[in-house]
Amino acid sequence: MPQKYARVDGVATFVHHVGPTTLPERPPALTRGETVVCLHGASPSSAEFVDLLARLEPAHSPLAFDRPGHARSAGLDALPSVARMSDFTRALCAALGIERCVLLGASMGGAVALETALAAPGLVRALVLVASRARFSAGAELLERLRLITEGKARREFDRSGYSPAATPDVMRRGFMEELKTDPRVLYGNMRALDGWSREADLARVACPTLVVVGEDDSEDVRAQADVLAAGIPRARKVVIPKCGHRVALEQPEALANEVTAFLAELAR
Amino acid sequence: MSLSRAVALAGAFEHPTRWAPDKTEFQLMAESARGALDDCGLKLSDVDGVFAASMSMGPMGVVSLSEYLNLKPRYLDGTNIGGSSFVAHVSHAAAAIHAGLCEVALILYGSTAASNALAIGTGMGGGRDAGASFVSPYGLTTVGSYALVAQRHMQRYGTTSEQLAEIAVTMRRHAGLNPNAKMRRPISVADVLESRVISRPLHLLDCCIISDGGGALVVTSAARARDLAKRPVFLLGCGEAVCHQELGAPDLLTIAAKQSGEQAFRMAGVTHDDIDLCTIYDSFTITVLATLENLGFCKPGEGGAFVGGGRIGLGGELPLNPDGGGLSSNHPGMRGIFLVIEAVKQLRGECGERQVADARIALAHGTGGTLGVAHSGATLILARD
Repeated sequence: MPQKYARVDGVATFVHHVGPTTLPERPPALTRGETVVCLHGASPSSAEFVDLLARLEPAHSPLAFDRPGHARSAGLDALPSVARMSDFTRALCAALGIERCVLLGASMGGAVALETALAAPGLVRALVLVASRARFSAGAELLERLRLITEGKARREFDRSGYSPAATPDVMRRGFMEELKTDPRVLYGNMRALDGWSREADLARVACPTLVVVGEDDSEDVRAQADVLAAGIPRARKVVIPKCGHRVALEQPEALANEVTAFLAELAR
Repeated sequence: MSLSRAVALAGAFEHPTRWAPDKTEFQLMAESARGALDDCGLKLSDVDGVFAASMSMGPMGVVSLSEYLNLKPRYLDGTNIGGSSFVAHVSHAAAAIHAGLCEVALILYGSTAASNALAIGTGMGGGRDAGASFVSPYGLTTVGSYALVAQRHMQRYGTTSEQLAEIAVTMRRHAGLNPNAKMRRPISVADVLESRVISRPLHLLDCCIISDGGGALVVTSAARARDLAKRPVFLLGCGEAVCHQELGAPDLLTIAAKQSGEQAFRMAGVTHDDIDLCTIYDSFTITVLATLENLGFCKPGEGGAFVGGGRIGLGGELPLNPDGGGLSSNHPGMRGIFLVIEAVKQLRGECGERQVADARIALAHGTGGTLGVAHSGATLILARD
């Protein structure tokens, strides 16, 4: 899959895209179907979307990028707020010449997508909110644990939580190895940025068509939040992916791609 | 005519990046070259000597680098003796300039160690060479070997982890004054001791960070340097040395700094009391302690007490690594060039908040390879006038 760097707000930003490769200073050719910009969660990176991108490629122009501090993008720290992450997303779209696109956000990426749809309705043609929420609270315990990791007082452990019982060790290993490419202080920064963020009161203002996706085996909390999103956003519909936990794009890329493809077809009608 | 004061450092540039996933080593070197040449007001076409080393450059790397920079130097030096290489390059360049073999020497370093996820300290260097093949099969790692030196120091002199931690805490405090440093949030001695053990007795915060980075130096004759943009920094003394297994009976606490330091002091004609600041290779806290003792700033065994009480902090008697060093500012694997760059900038008075007041004479010491097994040392003594 082609990869390239784009300069966004002075940050060398790593982009996965499909279609032909282009010269360093030229944006990818986003000519096919819908342009779908994928926003990753707090601990992963754009790599969680590569299987999805490959499946959307025949009909659409999907891309995914690493936010500053994540994996292969420059920057040492997380962006300090969801609003800044949304600003960055808009700047990236501007840098790649994207005037209108579908935003697909996973988990924390969903918060960024939602924020962007509210701040820049002209840019966002539709939303796909995957395993996401209308509000986040990190909780003091998690924040403290992440802080201890940044100070070398605790280890980053291999973590099975959040995955479906059906997820293979291979999938979990892939997720973990990719997470290791991001400095723990970025995850800590993300969680502080997310803690207390809520757009629950603004859901009715989201005007674009929205697909809410949630894994059957995700936590009760996330599944309940999917209902909040689906009920609160006027033009939303919800789908549940079977045998799937929190990392939908990684665990069930095929099923997710099918749902997204169907949703994009509805848009075209 | 003596080499002392015959040659000067005219240009110095430290690349501000600490994470450059979109760049190559050569790119970082080229950007740094531009920085150092702009710093002294010279052009790339003025360069007639090229010196470089890095962890992943091949044995002919300096040849490819000259092509990359479109340079046709008349003097080439690809000496690689580990992290101290660039400190040694300065004395090699001085000798070449003094002998008339080149006039403007460009010393370059670039590395993407962090974004390439190189596990530096937990690997073992020099694995291809004959001596190392008798060590590496037993599983000794770089950090393990330094830990051995620390164990020995503690066992023989009663040095404590708290004393070692003081070094890490001081470096972090300095890094807080350096806007480009990778780790800037202050830490305490307790933070160091509570951080997880990597190789007993060294904790995570006793170990340097891993970053990307690059740097460049321009060395030329003292006469030419006087006509350039920045105030020249003169080379007073230099020395280099190798310390090895001694046929299987090494003294873990005598390191290459002893020999290279003695030579540099002798050549410079100055004493320890004349040194206003030090930039010392700090791959681990124990590296600093062992180096200070071997350079003669304190007696063997007194290092633990020496680094306490704020002596090595800014405002102290012997400020050490005001940039935050490899423990907190940057460490792309071979940090020697930054020791020289910081010393030059301090002697010029360009360091803002972290400036050592009225710095006139500085000592830079690089360690290459691994203390405890075969390693190199290179020392420079520099002066502003």
